[in-house]
Amino acid sequence: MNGTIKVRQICFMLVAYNAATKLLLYPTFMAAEAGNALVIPALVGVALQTAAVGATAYLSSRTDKTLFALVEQRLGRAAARTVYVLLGLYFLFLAVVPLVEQKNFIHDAYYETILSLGMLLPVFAFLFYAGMKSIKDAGAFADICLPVFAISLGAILIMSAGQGDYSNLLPVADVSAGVLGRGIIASLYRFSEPALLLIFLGNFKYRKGDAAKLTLSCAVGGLAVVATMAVFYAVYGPLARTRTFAIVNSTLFFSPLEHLGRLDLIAAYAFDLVVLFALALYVQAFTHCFCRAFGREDFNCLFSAIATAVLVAVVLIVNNKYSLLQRAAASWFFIPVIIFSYLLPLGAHLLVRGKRGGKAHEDGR
Amino acid sequence: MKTDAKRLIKRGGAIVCALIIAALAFLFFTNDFGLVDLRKTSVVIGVGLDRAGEELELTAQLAVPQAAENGSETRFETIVGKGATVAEALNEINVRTGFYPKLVFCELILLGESCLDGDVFATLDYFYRNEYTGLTPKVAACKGSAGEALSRNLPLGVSATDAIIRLLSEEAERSANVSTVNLRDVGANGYSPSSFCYMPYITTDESQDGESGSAQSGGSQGGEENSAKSQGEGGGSRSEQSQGGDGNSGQGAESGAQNEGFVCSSCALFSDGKFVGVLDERLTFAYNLISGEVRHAFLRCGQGDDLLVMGLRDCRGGAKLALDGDSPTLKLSFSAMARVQDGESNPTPESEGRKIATEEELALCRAELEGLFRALFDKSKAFGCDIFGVRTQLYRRFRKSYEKFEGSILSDLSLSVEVKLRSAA
Repeated sequence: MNGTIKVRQICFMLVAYNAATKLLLYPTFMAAEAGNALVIPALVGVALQTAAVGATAYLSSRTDKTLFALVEQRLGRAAARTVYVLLGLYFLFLAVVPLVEQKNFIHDAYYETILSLGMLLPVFAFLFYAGMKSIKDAGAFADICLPVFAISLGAILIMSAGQGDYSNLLPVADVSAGVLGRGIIASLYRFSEPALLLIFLGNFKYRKGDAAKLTLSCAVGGLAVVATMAVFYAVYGPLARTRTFAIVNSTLFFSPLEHLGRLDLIAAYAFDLVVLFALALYVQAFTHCFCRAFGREDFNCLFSAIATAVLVAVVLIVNNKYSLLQRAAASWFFIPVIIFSYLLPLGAHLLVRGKRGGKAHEDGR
Repeated sequence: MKTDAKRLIKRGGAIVCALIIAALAFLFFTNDFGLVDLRKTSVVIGVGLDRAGEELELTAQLAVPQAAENGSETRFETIVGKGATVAEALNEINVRTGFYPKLVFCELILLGESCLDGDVFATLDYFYRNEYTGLTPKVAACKGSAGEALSRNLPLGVSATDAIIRLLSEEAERSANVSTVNLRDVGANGYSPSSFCYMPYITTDESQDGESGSAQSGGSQGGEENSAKSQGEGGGSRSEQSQGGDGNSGQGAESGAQNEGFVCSSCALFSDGKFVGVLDERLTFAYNLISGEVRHAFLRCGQGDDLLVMGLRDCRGGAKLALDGDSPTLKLSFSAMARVQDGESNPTPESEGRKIATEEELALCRAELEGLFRALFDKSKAFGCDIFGVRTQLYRRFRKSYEKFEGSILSDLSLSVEVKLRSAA
């Protein structure tokens, strides 16, 4: 592990990255799935994720060991390596949907011509570069991203909140159990943050109250998503399902833009950069897991290159097949998410013996 | 020494790498890789749609920037494309002219009379599917051909699209004179449980004269001439540049024949996507008072010597459904601050200085408004068009009773009108 990360930075990630990766297509997806009740399945998803993050954060209060050390201690080195390889692959898998969505977002929002894949080169160059960086650097990225995220999303919400008819959301609770269940299952793959917390385990100094801070941050990020979804549906009503990217479509009716031009796109660019850093965190997590699994911290460049190459290949394969990817994601992506983001953090509790020792931790020093 | 150099190279390399990525990312996010050759594209500012049998005729009004000695001028041209759908018509323009019409800057979609026969959403389908249009263009229907309306030469180098957009401005909307809607409003209403929509119904000065006698400035005779000219040049044409290309500043005003304008004070109604009728000027005004965000409207009350025009400010209108047992009631409410603007009675120095309405004048104004609202309600029933969004309210506020009342609510609906006018202090 190269250095440690601060709790503040993890909180920033749980607010900014958590919301940013969900706000590209999730609002449209839920509008199509649940109509005016779109916020209900989203709230359930946020509650599930926040509970799982809370459980993982609580785990960090019980031990100062990394997940690798915990597994190695109880199940042996081979098991620890296997878990880390699988976890690394899982992070790469999690990057696929947001990456393809970001590609589509850039195409729809900024380009009038068909986007050639060569234009994504800077994105992959950045992912490769960021993937080589340590978890400590990921924390530094989060320090930059949170204010960018807060300002950009704030500006977007200010521009769009006044343009909506909130009676479009009525009747709010009018959602059948079937729709609710389908909506939650089909979108659970977007609520995968608890797994990210696993790789930070043992890599930050836990102080009293940190678990609450982490849980609260996750809830704040999730509620930002729900609020944006509500505004988006208020703006478009039954047409919300036809508007693919809430972030750039909600602001369109802000009347000053008629005279000033699309100044809202500056906020969208900034927001998009946060999505890019969120994607980079997945590559960093992959590199970190593989470096630990193979015991070669100096191979970060190689593993980052492998992760980037895999993502390039995936984008090449699913290019123009997004609906296929979305169908697959809605149908079975929830399985690995339940295993790695929900069961694994809970299962990790079984690996911890007794209570966390050390007076310093107890005192919060 | 060697270690220092290594560290310097490493740090320098990282900085250079970061700078390259930042530069590439900037170019990437700002679309500088996707350079667009302006000579191969065209900026469509307005689109007119007409049906000729099974075919759809799309008239695109283009803004063509021209270099000039003192800055730049804009020339307006219209191009006609035909096809089974909007997409096919746009593609035909591409095939015939070599450039693809971009709808990013499209401000107006004008539906010709022939488009009102079918399902309006089938005609507008392309714009709802197209991400680039953005649902911001204003939508209007017009009497006669939309292509001809867009092809008209107007004074002062103004394009027909600009002229119509000005009439549909926010200011006009806030004075309750026009029912401005954009694609989003049309779709949101059309796909709501009420399944209705409305849009301004545009006529030319001459036709408005013939119908209701109230018209804006402009020569009707000239309008006929110009209309005929448009028909000759633009109608059914597949030419690359049909006409209207010489709308440079000043050129359009050279004859009275080109001096006519548009009138947008009435409103076309649609139910389930089908055109059901037109609300006249007075009922459109009443509808705007109830449903729009009106800031300052002028209302004519009384007749003869009692005629006076009241200014209504701080207007608040609303249509609320109430369900008492099995009897649904629509409560139309309107409140405003009323002020006397002018009148027909013999003015005296005392009356000239008086703007505060008396109780009698307020009562006259109230009666006028109540009459208008009742007439509007009767009209909506006659058209079978849920213009007050009653079914949508039923769905949103009385979800459990929705299935029970959905089918019969419009016919069973009773009306209560409440008009509150207060005199300006």
